[in-house]
Amino acid sequence: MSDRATMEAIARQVPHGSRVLDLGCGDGEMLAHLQATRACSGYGIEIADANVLACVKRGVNVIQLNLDEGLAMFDDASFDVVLQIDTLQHLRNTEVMLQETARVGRIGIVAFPNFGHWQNRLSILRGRMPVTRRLPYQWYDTPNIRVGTYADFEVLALRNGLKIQDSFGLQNDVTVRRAPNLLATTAVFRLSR
Amino acid sequence: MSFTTDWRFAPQRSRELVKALLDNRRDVSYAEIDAPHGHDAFLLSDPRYMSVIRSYFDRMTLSDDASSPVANPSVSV
Repeated sequence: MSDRATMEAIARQVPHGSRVLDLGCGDGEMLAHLQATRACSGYGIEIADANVLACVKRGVNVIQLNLDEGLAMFDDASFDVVLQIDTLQHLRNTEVMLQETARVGRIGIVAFPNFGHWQNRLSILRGRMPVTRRLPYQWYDTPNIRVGTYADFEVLALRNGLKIQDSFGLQNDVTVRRAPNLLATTAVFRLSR
Repeated sequence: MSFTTDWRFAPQRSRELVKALLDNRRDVSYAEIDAPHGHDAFLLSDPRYMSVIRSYFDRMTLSDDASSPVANPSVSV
């Protein structure tokens, strides 16, 4: 997620001075932002060579791992915050990684594109897979191996015994608290065990 | 840094080093280069390997000059 306003809205959920683990950290933009503006420290996890290099260039700590192999390297509650920003839709073991996020972090913050947004529903009603600014890919050419809705994630989190400390939608930089499953293109959940 | 097919300095051992640094709250970056050349991979000019090392060293120099956040870097090679 490169949208500056969305990144800032999620960053506000991270307490000042937190030790942060960013799962699927991309080019390290979020961690660099948290270090610069919220005095955070931490590490990113990335699989893509180009992103690992981008993090090193920025001076963001990065560890090259395949998240589908789990987080065995990390002890229980060894981070204040574990981030999963636009990562869930690329994982095969989404449920395991959700449990791992809550195990390793005292707080987990998960954000992903909300397939329940009205534009997506409208597109499906018309019989076509949606192509939007938030989900810009054709169905046959997408890096997302799954899509889910705000409401779906709520069910999954509760079924895994996680506490939802807070959840809301994001529509551009606006926080959506009324009917987020219908009105927000991004879902954000703050979780704990 | 490790190479996936290196038996002499296996990625598993490097991950243990990374974990030790993590447990001691030290700065660490770790690249695991997918290469078929075994232990000799580091002798070949692999752009992924060289660019990560070059970028890391560049920042070490910078941090000495300007005391940027990467002061006291730890690297596992």
